[in-house]
Amino acid sequence: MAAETNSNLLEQAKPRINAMAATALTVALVALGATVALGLVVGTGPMFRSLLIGYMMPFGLAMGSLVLLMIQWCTAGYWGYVLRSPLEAGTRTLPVWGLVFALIALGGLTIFNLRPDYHPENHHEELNVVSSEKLWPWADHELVEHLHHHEKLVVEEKLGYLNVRFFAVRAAIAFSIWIVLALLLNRVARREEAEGTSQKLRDLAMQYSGPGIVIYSITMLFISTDWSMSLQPIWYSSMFPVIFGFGQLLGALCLNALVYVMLRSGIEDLSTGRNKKLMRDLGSLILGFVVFWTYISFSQYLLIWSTNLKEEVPFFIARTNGGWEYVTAALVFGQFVIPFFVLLLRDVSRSGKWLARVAGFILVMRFIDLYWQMKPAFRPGDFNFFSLETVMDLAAGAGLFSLWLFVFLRQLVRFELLPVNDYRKATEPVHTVSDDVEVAGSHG
Amino acid sequence: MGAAPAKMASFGLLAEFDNPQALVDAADRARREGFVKMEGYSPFPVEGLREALGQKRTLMPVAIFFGGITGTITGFMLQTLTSGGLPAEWDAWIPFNQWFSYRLNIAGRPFFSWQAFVPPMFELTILFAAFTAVFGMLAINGYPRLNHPLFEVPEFGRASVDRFFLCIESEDKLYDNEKTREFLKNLKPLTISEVPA
Repeated sequence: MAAETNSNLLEQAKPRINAMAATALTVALVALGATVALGLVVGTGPMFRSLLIGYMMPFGLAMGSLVLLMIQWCTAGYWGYVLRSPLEAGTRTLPVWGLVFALIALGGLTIFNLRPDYHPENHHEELNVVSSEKLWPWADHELVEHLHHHEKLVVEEKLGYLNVRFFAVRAAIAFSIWIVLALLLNRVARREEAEGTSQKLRDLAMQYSGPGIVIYSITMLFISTDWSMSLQPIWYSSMFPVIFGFGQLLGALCLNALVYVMLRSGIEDLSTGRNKKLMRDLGSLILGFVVFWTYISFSQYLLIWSTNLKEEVPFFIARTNGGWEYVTAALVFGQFVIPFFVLLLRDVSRSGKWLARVAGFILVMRFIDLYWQMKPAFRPGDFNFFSLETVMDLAAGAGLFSLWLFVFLRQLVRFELLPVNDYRKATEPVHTVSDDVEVAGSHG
Repeated sequence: MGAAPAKMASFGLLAEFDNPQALVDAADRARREGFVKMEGYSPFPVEGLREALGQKRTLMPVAIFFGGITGTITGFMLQTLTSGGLPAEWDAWIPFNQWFSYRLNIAGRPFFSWQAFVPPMFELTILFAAFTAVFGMLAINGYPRLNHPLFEVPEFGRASVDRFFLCIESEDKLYDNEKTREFLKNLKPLTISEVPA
């Protein structure tokens, strides 16, 4: 049983984790090097855009880890016990990841375009597109000056909120809050490790987690608006922060399912006992999350489609034309149809191998979803898979993801993979019948 | 193996237990012994009982799935056929495309506005899936049969309160009134009752 092989597991999995971390670091260095090299060819403006898009996926994994960690403290459940340590490791990446954001944002707002003569070729005024000299177009005042009358009015009204100083303050406050939450929850974990579990410690963790989930929702409302929605400063959608934040949960859950299976394959049997139950639970959770993602994403589309407002509709026009319609279709199938039908099959969610495949697939789709959310802001109705810019987007995405994975895996090996003193440690399923019993007709 | 006349005489043998674990253990033993036609009865779902009884999965999930798909298609047809059919370019492939056209003009949107059709399609998917689940459940429980031989056993009333029952049915190939009763005795139940057919 899992609990007995506790410290054994870390010892057995350690070489594997360290090897994965080393690979991740190599990939990160190569891919980020390629991004910078391509940036010098294609333009540093597009490079910062690639980095911002690539940043969102690992950022979402870190934040999703924090929320799932808080949720499992509040809801209990066996999945929380086995995923707690990786989730805590995920939250410990937040300080580094705050620094990475500061670097990207600083570059994007200062040295953004090292070659001012460079302009993205397709400039569709009618699609609210802006060829900006800053990573976030509202920061480029000259550009705002030259917008059409109506659009200018809309954006100027928003400048009281969308200005660099206030933007930086919001980001700093948000990161401080998240890092403090992560520190508090990690401190509870360390205390539990040292002192043993107690109702007092659990209450403490719940006192952090309950309000923490609310604080996360509020901060993510601002952060998703600032970092992603404001790339199209005229557009707005009240559903967008929900999609953005919930995508983080889905991504973090899939990453943890994947990590769980990868670390244990060959060490533990995933198809029996507690693991079997856990695989089923994780499969059901991912299925539920996938359905909810579809619900909120389609709601946004349906509302914008039926309202048909000049400020909102360009968002979808930009994503259903000039090559983007294929990405949209890929998202519909890859993030909903395929995972939904595959996870409906009960055998799939009971087999660790297949669960890991589905989780890995959804993780790839998470990147495509974020790419779909952000990239058309810079290239509305214009998607060319075989262009240096797309290659640079992919390189930046792979590079930043691998960099985050390296930090995450280094944090993962610091403490036990299963919390040694968790209160759920002793909880056993009510009864498990061994499946290997031969049924022999030996009666009479 | 079993005595043929005894098979006709009763529905089966019913063993009573006072906790879920005892029932699961008993079912596990019975399955290993080779019994197939048996059923467990408990006031609440007991974890592991189905595996212990060696029960196969029912086909209900598959039926519910297709019930849901039927709902989706119904929802789609219901709205498409009553609002001008598919766009005109489909006329060549679908002869009846515009037979039921009412051409409802809603806020000047296209007649075939699939985006707006999705919520009713979703609702009908859920409705048809739920109907399949409920009526399918009644069907596989033998509805409209309202009586069951087990109701003849007075002790069985507590199956919905605080007792757990294992019934080995006489249809089982290994069933033998005396030998099966001996076997059940070894499981140390509170009572063993013969269920009249």
